[in-house]
Amino acid sequence: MDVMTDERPPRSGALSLPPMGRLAIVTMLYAVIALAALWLATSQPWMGLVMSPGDDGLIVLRQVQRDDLPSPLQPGLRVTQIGAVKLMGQDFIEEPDTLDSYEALNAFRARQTILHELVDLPRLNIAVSNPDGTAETVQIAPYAGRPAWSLPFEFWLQLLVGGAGALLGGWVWSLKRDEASRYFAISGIGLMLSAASASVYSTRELALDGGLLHLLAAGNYAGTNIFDLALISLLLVYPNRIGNRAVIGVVWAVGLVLIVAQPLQLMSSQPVGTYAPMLAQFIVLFLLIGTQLYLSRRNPLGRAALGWFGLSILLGTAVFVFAIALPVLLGQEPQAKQAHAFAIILLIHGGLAIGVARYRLFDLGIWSFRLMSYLIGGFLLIALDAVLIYVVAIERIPAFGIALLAVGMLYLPLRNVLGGLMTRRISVDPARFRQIVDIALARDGAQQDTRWRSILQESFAPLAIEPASHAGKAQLRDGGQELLVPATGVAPGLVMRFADAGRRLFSQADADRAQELVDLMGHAFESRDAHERGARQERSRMARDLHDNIGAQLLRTLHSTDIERKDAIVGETLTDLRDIISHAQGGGMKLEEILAELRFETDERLNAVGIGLDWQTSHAEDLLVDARTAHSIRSIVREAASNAIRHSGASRFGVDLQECDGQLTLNLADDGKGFMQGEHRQGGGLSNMTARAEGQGGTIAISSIGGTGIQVQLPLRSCES
Amino acid sequence: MTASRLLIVEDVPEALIWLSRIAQSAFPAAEIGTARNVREALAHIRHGRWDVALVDLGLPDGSGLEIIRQFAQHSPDTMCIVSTVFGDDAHIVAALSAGAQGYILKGQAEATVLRQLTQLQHGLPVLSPTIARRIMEHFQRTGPVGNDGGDLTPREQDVLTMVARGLRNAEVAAALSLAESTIATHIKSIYRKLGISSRAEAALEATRLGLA
Repeated sequence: MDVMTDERPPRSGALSLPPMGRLAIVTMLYAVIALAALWLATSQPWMGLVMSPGDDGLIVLRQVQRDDLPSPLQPGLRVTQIGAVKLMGQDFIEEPDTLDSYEALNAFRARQTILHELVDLPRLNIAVSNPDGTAETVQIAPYAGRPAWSLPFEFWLQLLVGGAGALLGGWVWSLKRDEASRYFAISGIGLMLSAASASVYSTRELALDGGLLHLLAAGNYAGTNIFDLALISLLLVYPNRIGNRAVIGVVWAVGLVLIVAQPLQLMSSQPVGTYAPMLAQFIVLFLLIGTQLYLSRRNPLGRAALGWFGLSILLGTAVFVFAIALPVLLGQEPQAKQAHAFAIILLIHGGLAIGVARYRLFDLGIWSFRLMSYLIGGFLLIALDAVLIYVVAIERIPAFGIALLAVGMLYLPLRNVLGGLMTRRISVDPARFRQIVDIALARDGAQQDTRWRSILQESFAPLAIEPASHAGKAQLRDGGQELLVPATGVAPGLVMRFADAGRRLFSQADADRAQELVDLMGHAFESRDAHERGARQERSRMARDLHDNIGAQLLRTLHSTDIERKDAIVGETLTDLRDIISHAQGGGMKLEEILAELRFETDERLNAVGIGLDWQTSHAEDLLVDARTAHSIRSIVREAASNAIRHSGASRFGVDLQECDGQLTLNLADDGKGFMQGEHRQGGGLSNMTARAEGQGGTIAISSIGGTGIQVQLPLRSCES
Repeated sequence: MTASRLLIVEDVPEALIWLSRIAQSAFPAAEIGTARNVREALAHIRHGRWDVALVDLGLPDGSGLEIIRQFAQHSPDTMCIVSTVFGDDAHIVAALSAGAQGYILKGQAEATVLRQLTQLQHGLPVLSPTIARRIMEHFQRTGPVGNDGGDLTPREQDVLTMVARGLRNAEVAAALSLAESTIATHIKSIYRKLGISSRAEAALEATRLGLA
């Protein structure tokens, strides 16, 4: 398989020129040909009349290009005779190749010679007939030369097409020095030869010398065949080598025989000689493209290039074949002006050149679709216009308007819908998002790697995914044969080879999509990290709370000898544990909630022994406190309530909590008998409260006058997280 | 209400013994059955009629919620009471909305638990401030549910708010100039609506998911 992707060094012995040198050669060749065409066109004698056959079969004077002509010569006149020769519609035929026999062709050339000699005379009588039927004869003096400005648009168009073909070919040839681009350049030269020759005779004023006509027709014929033969040769070697040099040699030998035989009128007939080879070449091209597509089924680059220029070639040659060659072979008028057909070829030649030169054909489908759609649109417009004029019989101008409107309103929206379907950007599937998050959350590195690969596999269906060190963005390599995927948090850099199991190249859209997946993965991975950091912080907070509260209380329980106290502490511990679990999320506990529970619980306990509760609190709404502060408040209130229940004989127990300037002031009082100094010390109730308050950096004051009074002050630590 | 058959579902053996003792004191005439996991409990539901069930939520083979649901479905007359160590608020609210008619905290002193069980027996439901808060949040989240009777009356909202602030039923009754038994009725109604509102919530959820 010989793929035109490798950059071969110029062979030793081959013409070794820098790219600009080659391009300069081609440009000069074109300049010479174009100047020759211009010289030939302008060195003809000139009447200054633009004539063409009218609907009535007579020759209509369309335009008068000189202002020194006699006044009767006005546009709209019918020109009947030049000198002694009656004019015929056939004298104005653009492409004599379309005549139906060698005899007709020879007769045409003989008339052309006579007409040319007449116009070449210093004085010339022209017989005209006015619209009212009156006839008159006018004498004019043709100029010896035709000014360039008087040449019609088609002349320049054909020179432009020829030049562009040659220069595009030269451009590719100068950049890529291989066999395929050489054939491509040759096809460009052929196009130039063909178009330049045609530009002279198809835009003649009236007549050229028969010999010159013959020569130009031969040039046109040779150019067209060279164009086709070069394309056949190109497809024989690119992207896969189908034929060796011998086969290509045979192709050219047959072609050269044709190129010689047709001008010498050795073929069976004029149309067959001209258009049968063209048709045959078209069929060969068609078969070659099919073969190449088949051979390239495992070679994405080859397929991409073929899709690009195979289509170009088919479209370009099909225009000629179906618009001109086939109608003529069937004995009908050609369906398009040759000059316009050339222009379509140019359009396609340009696409072909880009394909061969750059072969970075990532968005091939879109490109070929667009070109095709414009062509179809154009054809539709013409076809509809023709139907309206010839079938519905509407005037030309409104018919064109209606056709344009119909195409614009019906075809273009359809085209956009189809285009939208073809160029649809598949952005990251929501289902993928989930997969990616799952991967990021998975623990097992090897599994993450496998699953990441399987996502890439599902998204792009590459033939291979291999490790590759790559940093930065997702990136195309080797003209889209490979796509580099940068490393993510879970997987090393990878390279994917051959998209869609080798059926296409990676495109920039694929690279963007891959990058999106990578970004998504990075994001999911970071989120996981953030989540884990949060979870770690939460765990350490819980560990601290467990240690400070639960641990300390269990220790107290362990060392306490009083069964009743043990039970009480265990109960408190469970409440604390509940706090720690219930408030596992968030930065703290609402003081309001803690106090509500505490009030409820205290009231229940006091109520059971007939003690009334006076509860007063005042604090900022939504104030949060940490677990330790919550625990301290609860311990102190419970301890004081226990004292009141067990020892005081009180009838009321008051709790008053005030929060002010980051300080909690807790006043606990009962109306009982108070306590004696030294009492309850071992029980640890008051000493526990003292330890609690002081451990928190607070103070405690206890009085025993008129019942027990305890005042505790606790600093509030800010608990923002 | 007198309970003749009482089922205790509890996986910790010591707690089972402790609870059985308390339950026997609260319901002296009752026959007590025990189950240590969801499987045994479901077998009991299939093979017998129970007046009261004390159900632990965290069981080795599943959640006690499942048992409460089965009771609600097959034996709606059974009074289900959740027994839990930590009083994990979210779970208690879930259990209440699944059909439980009260809860006890096993971490409390024996006397407290006994009193609560006795009160339940007399139809006086327990509602702690924290649970009241969770219930309020639940109704705020689900919003009004139309004519189902799922949303709370203003009086019920008052009761709930006061309980959430830490007032006992008696204090709420005093503050609202109502009988304590009326407060108990309101609380029972709130429990019931919790179940209804959770059904409405389920229907809402089903619609949102395109299932209904």
